[in-house]
Amino acid sequence: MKRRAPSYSVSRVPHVLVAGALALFVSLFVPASLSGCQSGLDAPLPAASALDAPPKRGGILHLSSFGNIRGLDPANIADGLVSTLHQLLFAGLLDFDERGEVIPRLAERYETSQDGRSYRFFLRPGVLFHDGTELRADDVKRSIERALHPTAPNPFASFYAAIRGYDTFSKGKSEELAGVVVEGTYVVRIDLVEPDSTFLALFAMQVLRPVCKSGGRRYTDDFVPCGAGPFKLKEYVRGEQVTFARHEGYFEPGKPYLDGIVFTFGVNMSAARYKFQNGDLDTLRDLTAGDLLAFQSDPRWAPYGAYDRERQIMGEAMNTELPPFDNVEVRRAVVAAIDRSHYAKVKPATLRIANQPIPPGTPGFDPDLKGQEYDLPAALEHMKRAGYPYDPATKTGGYPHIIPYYTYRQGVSEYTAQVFQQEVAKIGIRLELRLVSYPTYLAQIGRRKKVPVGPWGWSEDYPDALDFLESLFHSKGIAEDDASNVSFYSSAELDRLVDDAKHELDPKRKKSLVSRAVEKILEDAPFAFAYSVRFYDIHQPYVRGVKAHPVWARNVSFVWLDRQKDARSAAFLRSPSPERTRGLASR
Amino acid sequence: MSEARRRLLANVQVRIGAGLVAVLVVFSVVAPWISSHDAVTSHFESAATRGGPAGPSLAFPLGADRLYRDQLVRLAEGGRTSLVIGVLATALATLLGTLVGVLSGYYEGARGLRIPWLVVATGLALFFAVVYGPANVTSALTSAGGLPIVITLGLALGLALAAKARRGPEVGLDTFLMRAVDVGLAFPFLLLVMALASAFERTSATTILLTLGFSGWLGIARVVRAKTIGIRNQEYVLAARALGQRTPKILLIHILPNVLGPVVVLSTLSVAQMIVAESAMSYLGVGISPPTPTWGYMLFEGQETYAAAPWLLVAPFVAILMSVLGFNVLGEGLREALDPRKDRG
Amino acid sequence: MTMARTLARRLAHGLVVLFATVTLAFFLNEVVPSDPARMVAGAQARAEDVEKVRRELGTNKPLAQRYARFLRRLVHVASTKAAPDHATCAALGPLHLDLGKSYQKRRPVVDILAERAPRTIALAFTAVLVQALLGTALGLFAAKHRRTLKDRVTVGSSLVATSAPTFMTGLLLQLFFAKILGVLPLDGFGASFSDHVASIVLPSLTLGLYGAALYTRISRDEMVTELGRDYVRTAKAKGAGPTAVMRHAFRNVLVPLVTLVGLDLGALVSGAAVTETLFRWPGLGSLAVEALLDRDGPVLMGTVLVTCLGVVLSSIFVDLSVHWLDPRARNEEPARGS
Repeated sequence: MKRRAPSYSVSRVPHVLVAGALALFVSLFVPASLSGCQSGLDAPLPAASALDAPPKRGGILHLSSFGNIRGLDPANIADGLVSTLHQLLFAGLLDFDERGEVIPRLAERYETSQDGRSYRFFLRPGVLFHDGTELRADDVKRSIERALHPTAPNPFASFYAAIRGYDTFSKGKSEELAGVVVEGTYVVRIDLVEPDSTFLALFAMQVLRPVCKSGGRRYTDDFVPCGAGPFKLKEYVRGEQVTFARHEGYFEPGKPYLDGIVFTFGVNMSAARYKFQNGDLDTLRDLTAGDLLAFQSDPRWAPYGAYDRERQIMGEAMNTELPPFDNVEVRRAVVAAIDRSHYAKVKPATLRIANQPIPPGTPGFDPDLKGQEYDLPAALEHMKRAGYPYDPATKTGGYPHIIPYYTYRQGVSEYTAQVFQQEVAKIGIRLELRLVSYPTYLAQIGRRKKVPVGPWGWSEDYPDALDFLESLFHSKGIAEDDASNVSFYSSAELDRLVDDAKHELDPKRKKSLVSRAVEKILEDAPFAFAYSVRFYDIHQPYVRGVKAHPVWARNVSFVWLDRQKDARSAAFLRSPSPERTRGLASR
Repeated sequence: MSEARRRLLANVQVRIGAGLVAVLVVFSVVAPWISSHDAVTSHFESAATRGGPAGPSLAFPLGADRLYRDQLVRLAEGGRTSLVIGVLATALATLLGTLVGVLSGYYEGARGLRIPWLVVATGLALFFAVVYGPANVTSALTSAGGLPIVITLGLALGLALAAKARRGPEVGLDTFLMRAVDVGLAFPFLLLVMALASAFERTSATTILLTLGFSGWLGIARVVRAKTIGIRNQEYVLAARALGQRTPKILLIHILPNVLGPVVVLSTLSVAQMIVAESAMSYLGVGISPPTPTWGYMLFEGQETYAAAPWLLVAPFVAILMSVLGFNVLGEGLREALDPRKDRG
Repeated sequence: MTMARTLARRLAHGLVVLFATVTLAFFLNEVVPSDPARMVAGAQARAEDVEKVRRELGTNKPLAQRYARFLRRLVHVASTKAAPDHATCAALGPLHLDLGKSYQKRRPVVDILAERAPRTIALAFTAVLVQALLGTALGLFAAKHRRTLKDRVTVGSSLVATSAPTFMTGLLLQLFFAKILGVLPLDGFGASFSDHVASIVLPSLTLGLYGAALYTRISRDEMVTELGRDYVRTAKAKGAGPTAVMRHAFRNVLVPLVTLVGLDLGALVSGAAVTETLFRWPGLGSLAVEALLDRDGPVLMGTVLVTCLGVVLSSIFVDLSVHWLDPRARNEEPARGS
């Protein structure tokens, strides 16, 4: 005896269902698109006093970023974001001024020896760390050794290999870095194995900056950041927020002006814009493409925004050890085939075309250089010379095989890949895009004889053209794994030019060596330069003293607030919450 | 057969659901055909405005995407891939999930395989020796790939002995299947995807489909199992058993039709989830490589420009929504129409 | 079997599941061609600096050795936490739990998990609560008004919410409640308990709206089925009102719903990366994705462990409640031997 299974009742007029659903959707989306679009910018919040009024003391500056930092130790830098924060916490013996020139900061002055192999730094007496102790020459030596010791996870250590004794020290064979010599309480000397025109710029970076005695002689993971910068750490809640308070003992009298700075991590772009417009954030940097255009085209806002200098170069690296890019004519064809304006159109207000190895914001950039240019007939001619003639009218000929191109989904690289694919198709080179995860991409592109062509680029490690030339094109950058010269381009002539420029202390002669090296690279075409990414920073009018800095993004150490009313400062000063500095004090 | 067909055609829901799906399919097939644009060519000049890609216009009815390609044609092309992936992956997941769920639920509490205490004890002893033992024991067992060998041998021996064992922990079919489901649910899907990505140098729609299908059945199995447990003691099932009907027949005739309700619900919703999941996979390097469009991928692309060009986000969303509604209504109708014991009085 | 015995059995099985999952994940993580040291040192690090980091992390050792070391450290007995090699442990009396140190964050993984897990669990429970209550309420409403306009609009709207990806729903909710109305915080966690409560509303609503459709559809369909059964007809004939009838039938609808709750709890404990990121609610989901993309093995294994624990426990919870809810399933042992 079977029983009837229950039947399900069902609705019979589904078009009503569709209509209802769409109505709900529209009712949600219409207000969103009305206020989410360009038209919806609120007015800027004006400053309280006139433009020429003297700086005011007090107030808390609020910043945020979409990103996050790994930590605040200068001996373990691995992200671009942290340099803004390091600039607040750690002052260096040297720094860069607003024109990008190296200037003494914690050092009163410095001298260079005749042979260029040794630098003597005279410290400013009376400079205080955040813990109240005075900065002495042995603190400088201790901090350098701490950052370069083999147990420190410092990815920049080898940049300082020119310091005498680095070799034995970095192998753990010596407890002391011989090239850093304490000559007196306030005098420290650094010896190099050979003259190095990049050393001062390298030393002005943040890696070797003095840290308090609590930092110890060796790197440990539990260091509570403490230095001699204009602000000291007040509270660090990992992954969420870091708070700074003014270092009252900062050596420049009257500075800094702000009582404190709050930096929040992981704020998504739309939330950041809402907060900025409400005055809960004082500056804004992570902008969606639409917001960026809106701010730029709104005359009320335009005066308060500016681009950083471009200090990075992106493009397509062609592996000179793999066919067809082992053929210089094919490389020249690719270089001439890409219309760089198409790259820039992927993100119009952010990307800027690039056609030479050195970006415009880096010393050594030559604005008059012709560089790589789009020239389709020339590209086709190069293809013919390479033995792969291509007829664009009939779409016949060209390179007979499909070439794999490795890319990943992050930033604009997946889009530029598709531009590149279309550009080289015009000369008969067919690419197959392979989307891999970023770690896989990184492992593969740096591996020898693995990737024929792929996206690559370089961000300035220190402000000098040689950073780019050495990392991307010197044969030192070739390795079986983790190569930085991912074109695997090797030229004795270029190596010599770069090495000579590095040892050349005369700026004029160095400049000519650099431009000869650039010419050589343009001739051999291991790399098709394409674009660089520009960052736009916008602030409320009441944030005063904002100056774009050529090296430090979002340089806010010495800005001041001139707000009409600000209730937040009082609350900030009332809240003593050191126990929330999680993960720092506990271990 | 003809009776079923007649009922199928008479069912309003089937007609409307099938109509919705057909609209999507026809759009996907026909739009790229009749359009003068294709899905992969950028129109850097004709589709550009000062600030970037142009909005909807006569030449580009849904505007241009951020690479200045025709969004409408891409939506249609994307539909081909996404619909195939969504539907087939769902079908695979539903089949597997229902099969496992029904078996597991029906045999819940049934007798299973006994694993002798001896095997359990040996296994545990070996494990402790490797993990907590002195360094030389550990290194001997772990060097030269010793560990996998030990594990395999142990498993084989255990299974051989288990066939005859009388004492020891019992592992029934239900327990085994459900604990396997637990492992599957607990396992990080993205890691699996990433590992698969490295196994295939290049991902095709087939690999994505299989990945999604073979990882999407777990939840369905759980729900079906719960439902089966509720049904198997209903009088009509007990009666069928008493009458000596064979188990496959019972499962097919009495259990399966009654668990189909939640299965249809889960699977219609899963079509959308599969389509969106495809785009998440491309983050880890297993998505369909560009420039091939898919709806999920377009959804992610649209997210980046939603403030300036909301239509780029709305277009794939509406397409996915339409497919969900279509399959939902169609699924309901199909079940109603094809139910053999449906009282049509 | 008694309840206690069933529970013990299930817990033992849970351990096996835990072990299998963790082992599988450990080995599968090694298949991916990538280098954790490179991810730590950065894309522009020189080969020699990457090599230094590799040595420091110990990722240059053979796989089997690292696996044995991972298990040995994972659970061990020690009397003190003071020793340097126990610096990354979490102590539960004499039992130590140690997942090592994060490659990227350079902190004990147990500490990171202890910070992240409570938030994820809070969000998971509220989100499941929202979607189950909202979904079931809508489903019952639709069942009560079955085959009317109300029914279709209810079911239709739930489908809209589930077709929209969470980032879209989340952005709209942020815009509406935080920017336009200004009644709820945009993102973050807040400083006080009332702040936490206000802050959890939007993320849990985002997840809840996404998940509610399933509950709506299933509770509606099951309810309609139940309402067509004999006992309901009998009850109606005896003069029971519609609400009383619904209440009676609801008990039978609960079984699939509880199964769904269990599934969703397990899934949400592994975190909802997109929603967490959108609402700046750092939990296990974003942690796991970060760890995966940074190739941060120790953190990844930590998230796998917690997720697995969540799935195992919710699975046990479901089984026990199904037995408890469905007397027929509890009392008999059907199909035995068949």
